[in-house]
Amino acid sequence: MGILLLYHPRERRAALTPPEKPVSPQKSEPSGQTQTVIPSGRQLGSYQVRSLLGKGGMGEVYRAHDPKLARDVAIKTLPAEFAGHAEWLARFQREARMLAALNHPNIAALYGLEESGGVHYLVMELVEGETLAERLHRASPLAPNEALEICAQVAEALQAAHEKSITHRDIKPANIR
Amino acid sequence: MTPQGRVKVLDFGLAKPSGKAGTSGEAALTEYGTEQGRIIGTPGYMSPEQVRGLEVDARTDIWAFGCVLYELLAGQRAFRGQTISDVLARVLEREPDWKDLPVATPAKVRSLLAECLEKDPGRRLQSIGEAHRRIAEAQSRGRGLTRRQLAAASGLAAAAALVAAALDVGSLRSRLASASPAIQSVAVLPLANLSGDPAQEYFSDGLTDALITSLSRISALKVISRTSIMQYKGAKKTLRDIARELGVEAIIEGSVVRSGGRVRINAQLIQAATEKNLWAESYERDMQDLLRLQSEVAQAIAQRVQVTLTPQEQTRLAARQRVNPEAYDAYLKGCVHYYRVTPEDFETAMKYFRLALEKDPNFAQAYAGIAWVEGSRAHIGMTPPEDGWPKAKAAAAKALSLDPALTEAHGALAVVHYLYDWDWTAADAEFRRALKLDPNNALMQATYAEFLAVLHRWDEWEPRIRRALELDPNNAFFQALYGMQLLFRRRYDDAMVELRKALPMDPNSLVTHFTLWQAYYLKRMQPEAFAEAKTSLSLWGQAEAAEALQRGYARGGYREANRLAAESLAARAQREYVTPFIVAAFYVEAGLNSRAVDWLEKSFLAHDSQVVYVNVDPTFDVLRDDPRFQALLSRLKFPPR
Repeated sequence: MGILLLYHPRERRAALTPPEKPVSPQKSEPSGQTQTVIPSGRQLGSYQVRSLLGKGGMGEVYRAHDPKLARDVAIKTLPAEFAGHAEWLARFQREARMLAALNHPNIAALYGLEESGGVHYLVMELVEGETLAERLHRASPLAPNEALEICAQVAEALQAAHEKSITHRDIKPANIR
Repeated sequence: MTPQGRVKVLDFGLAKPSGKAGTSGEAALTEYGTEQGRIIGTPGYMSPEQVRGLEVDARTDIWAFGCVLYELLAGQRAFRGQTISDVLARVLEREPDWKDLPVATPAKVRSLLAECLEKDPGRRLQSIGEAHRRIAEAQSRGRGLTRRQLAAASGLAAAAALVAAALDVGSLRSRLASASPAIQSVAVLPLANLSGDPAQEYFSDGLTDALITSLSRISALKVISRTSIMQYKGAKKTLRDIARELGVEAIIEGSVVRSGGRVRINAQLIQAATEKNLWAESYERDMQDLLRLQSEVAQAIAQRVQVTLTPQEQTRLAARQRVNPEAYDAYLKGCVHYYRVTPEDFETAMKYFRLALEKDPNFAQAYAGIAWVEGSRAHIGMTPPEDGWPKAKAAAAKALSLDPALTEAHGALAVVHYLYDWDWTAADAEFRRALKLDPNNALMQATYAEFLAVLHRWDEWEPRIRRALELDPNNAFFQALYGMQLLFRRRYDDAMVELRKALPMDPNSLVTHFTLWQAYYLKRMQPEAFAEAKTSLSLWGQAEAAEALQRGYARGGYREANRLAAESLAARAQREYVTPFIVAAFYVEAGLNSRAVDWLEKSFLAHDSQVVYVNVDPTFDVLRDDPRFQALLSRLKFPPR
């Protein structure tokens, strides 16, 4: 009668399924290259954009200041095509709502999904410090104890998400900070 | 990671930009431009099903998690190559190079990695919670870095450490080395009954109790008692809120399923401030090994919170004998009824304890249960004292002969010595023995506090009752006892404050209303005292006396009210047992002092256990010069103050 495994495999519901294919045929296929970078100092909604943190085919991430709550946040803009694509926007809104419900110390919190002047953006917890990818770049491998402690916390985050049927789909050191 | 050593996972489930150039190295591949911008992963961390473009689910995260863990330990990616197609081919076809893992990697972690990196999602580790549990196990084995140590290792704290090191290298090092989540207080939330059958509720509740009892034996740990816990059954509050309300650092929660002769318990220990899972385990056993199982769980928790067990505690926790499942089942049912404190429930509890003994004649806990029911009934006056107390005493002795270290039995015996034998020395010794075995037993702490108050040992008294309240903050009974003991201490205003706190916890607590009645009487607040006396009589089931009280109050005020109530109770005492001590209380408040002493004498002769209060109860202060009252005190042979 050995110790049995903890946690029965949880009921696995289908991971987030993509929405039906866009139904409006008049919409052009997005090119993904039309986003313009918001210059620092510019206002986006009620946020003051401070600096660009990252940039890529799917939008940009900025450091911004929220004067109402007097805190810095991360703002992630969505590609301009999303604005014209009701289906995609709806999907993002659904995902954002689910994420907003994920309140866990090991998950960067999502504060909101907002829109200003045609730009849709996510307002998120700004997590300071280097990413695990940067850390590995600096000094690798990690001490086993540290590796285990970090992964224990990552597992906690994933557990919380999986319990709400949210799948990350892109776990990698660059997404762990 | 944050300066507190906390790691955060970013970018959940949302489309995201590629990483900053030169840091993360490569971008996530997305289906953007071809479909809906759905992420299909980053090559080195993509699962085989992602690579194939199949439907993905949580198991894809488990794969990627395995890749990250591998990389952190090995310093190399699990799947690497010159080109993306090289990498993807390895993901689909090749095993990671296990030789790249450091030699010291624990076997548990190696097998965890192999299971996470299983190509077929059907054969892969199915739950990330399981991965967490295995890591936690490996950590507790190898004394993993704590969050504080981890913080020290990260940049910001490292700078602070440098400054500190310049000042005092030695002490910093020892502080870091000893850093651990030192948990000194826990609450066990009611274990969930996963059987799907509400009739099995007693079983999960019983095991919750048993777990509390096992943990209570650890003196270095404060463990919240049952009444305060049971209020959280099905509560929607967060663990953090519950922990704050109960004043504990960690919460234990879990579930129980019983099927056939087997029982399975899942339990986890969660640090309240961080909601971090400190420990989790699942056990499955035959019913007959249930007692041993509880001890195992308690030991594992003690180990995880790093409290130090004394050698005796270790022995106590280890030496739990096998139990007859049917007997244990009956015992648990009996306990549930005992806690309801009504005549019918006491009767039902007795039936179950007797049934337990039929199944296993050597089951010590069932005898202890009988001792508590008999003693309680006798003290409240549900049975004549000369009938109930000797039975309680015999049952406690029998329990101790079967298990000399059974806390509940020592406790029962202490109460018998105190309330029935009036053997103050023996009672004191037995209380101390019970509390040494089980320092977290709120009932024992509160009862010992009362004993100390009755003997005017005021220096020792208050810490005991305060400890009881700390251990069981929502228990109306202990709150009322505190009020009563403050009254004994003649701190009437404090008593009133504490008694009013007890009311919302249980508006129908007899002891609260009786004590409030006394408190208002002593404060000469007659209308309030009258109202409380009336409520008390109703709750006690003395409707006639309550009517008499009402009649008297209308006719001649407070004294007349008490006189008529006393006479009504006295008349009833002709037909059945009525606690004489209470009759005496009504007479003294009627101003009929001589009649009051008559009934106190009756109380002594009937061996009414409440008579011990004469030594301290301010209600009877007006009688203290009466020679008969003094004679009564000397017959009780209280130790000199």
